[in-house]
Amino acid sequence: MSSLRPRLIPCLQVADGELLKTRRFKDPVYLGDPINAVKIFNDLDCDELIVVDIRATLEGRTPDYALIEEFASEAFMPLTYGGGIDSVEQIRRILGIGIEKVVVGTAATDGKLIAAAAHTFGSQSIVVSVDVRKTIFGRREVWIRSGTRNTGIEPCAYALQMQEQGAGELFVQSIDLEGARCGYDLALMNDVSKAVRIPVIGCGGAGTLDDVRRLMNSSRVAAAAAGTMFVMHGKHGAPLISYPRAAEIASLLDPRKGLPR
Amino acid sequence: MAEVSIVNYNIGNAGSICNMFRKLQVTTELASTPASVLGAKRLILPGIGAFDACVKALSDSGLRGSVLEFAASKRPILGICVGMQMLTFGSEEGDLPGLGLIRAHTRRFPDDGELRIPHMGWNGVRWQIPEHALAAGLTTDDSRFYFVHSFRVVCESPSNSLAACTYGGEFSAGIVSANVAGVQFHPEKSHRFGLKLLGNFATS
Repeated sequence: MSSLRPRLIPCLQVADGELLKTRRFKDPVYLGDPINAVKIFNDLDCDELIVVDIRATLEGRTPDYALIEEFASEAFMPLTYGGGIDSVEQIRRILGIGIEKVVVGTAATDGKLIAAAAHTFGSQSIVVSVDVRKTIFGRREVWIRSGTRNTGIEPCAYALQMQEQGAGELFVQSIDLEGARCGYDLALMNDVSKAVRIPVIGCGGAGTLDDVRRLMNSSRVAAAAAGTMFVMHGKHGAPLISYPRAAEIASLLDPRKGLPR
Repeated sequence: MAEVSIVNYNIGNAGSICNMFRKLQVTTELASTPASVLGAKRLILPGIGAFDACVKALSDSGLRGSVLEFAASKRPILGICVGMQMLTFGSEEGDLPGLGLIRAHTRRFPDDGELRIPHMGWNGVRWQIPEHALAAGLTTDDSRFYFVHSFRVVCESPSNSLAACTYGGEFSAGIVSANVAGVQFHPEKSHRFGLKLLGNFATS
């Protein structure tokens, strides 16, 4: 055990105190109690967790600190929280609760928040989400506000901007593949992870551990995130929390590839 | 009286440390005054962010002297992350002196242009003093810890290195000198392994 383990991160969607799962950022399905889900992931020795309130920004709500406190007291692993974050003060409060990192989406486009937050808390606590949708002509564009507003910016250019501003990590998600369980957008993950120095977390499309293995061994992504795969089971999408055992995770990375970059 | 006191100098992740002790059913309190630091049974010195910012905050809080005095009292003290780095003589990240409680220095990672900094993620450690109370039950192959740091500690003497970790070369993931110890990783974020380590500390 001398090199870093592959990072495999369940990404939980929440809204109004409910655990949800969308497909292509639409059609949320109710799955249960998010606190209970966090508790189960903790018992499964999950290495890292991302929780995103998928409606906070759309509904103009500030982060639900009471809920975040409940997450923090059940999750003894690095926890990243996102949804509705648009100020340094909110980030201060969330990190103070014991959350490891925040993920900022829409508010990152103001050009100031990421720089200010990275300066105050260090880049390592600031993750920027990069939600990508393809046009019918195959051009990639970054969308914000839970996939409802197009910035028109190409994702590699956007990723570079965010790196410049001080983001410590990027959460890159393919909207088109989200919930589809047919594998990651390897070309997108490859392009973005090569464009920047900071770690990229790839998300969107994972259906099996083989999808994760392909992502980790075919691109420079530092981590693989997935939602559906860890919270649903079977073709009818029955709610079921799962997380692979440590030995399975360790085997995800091709030893010839060496350290994840 | 609380089993474990956490130095409260407006820096660090006292919240998640307290959460984990709560899970262990170990009582904690935040030590915000010299008297509460000096009266502690066991002390944790947390720290995140820049080295100088932490050192300065500790001085500004008026608790630096009492932390040193506590360490001299032979009761257990554990530094976590930058809290561990503060136990050393100083850091290449900053200009301010550390507490100098352990003969070690905080250095840059070797920059070969390829190594990603910070060292962030789960990594295994090799316990160099496996019989130490903090290592109890943790010397198994599967034990691992969560790291986030951009500078690394190097001991003057190997006898002070409690645990080694490899990332761009070997560094000390744990250091110790009598009652003073530090860990570079975050036990409070290292689920059952961190829980075990903090449990070991609370009974040391």
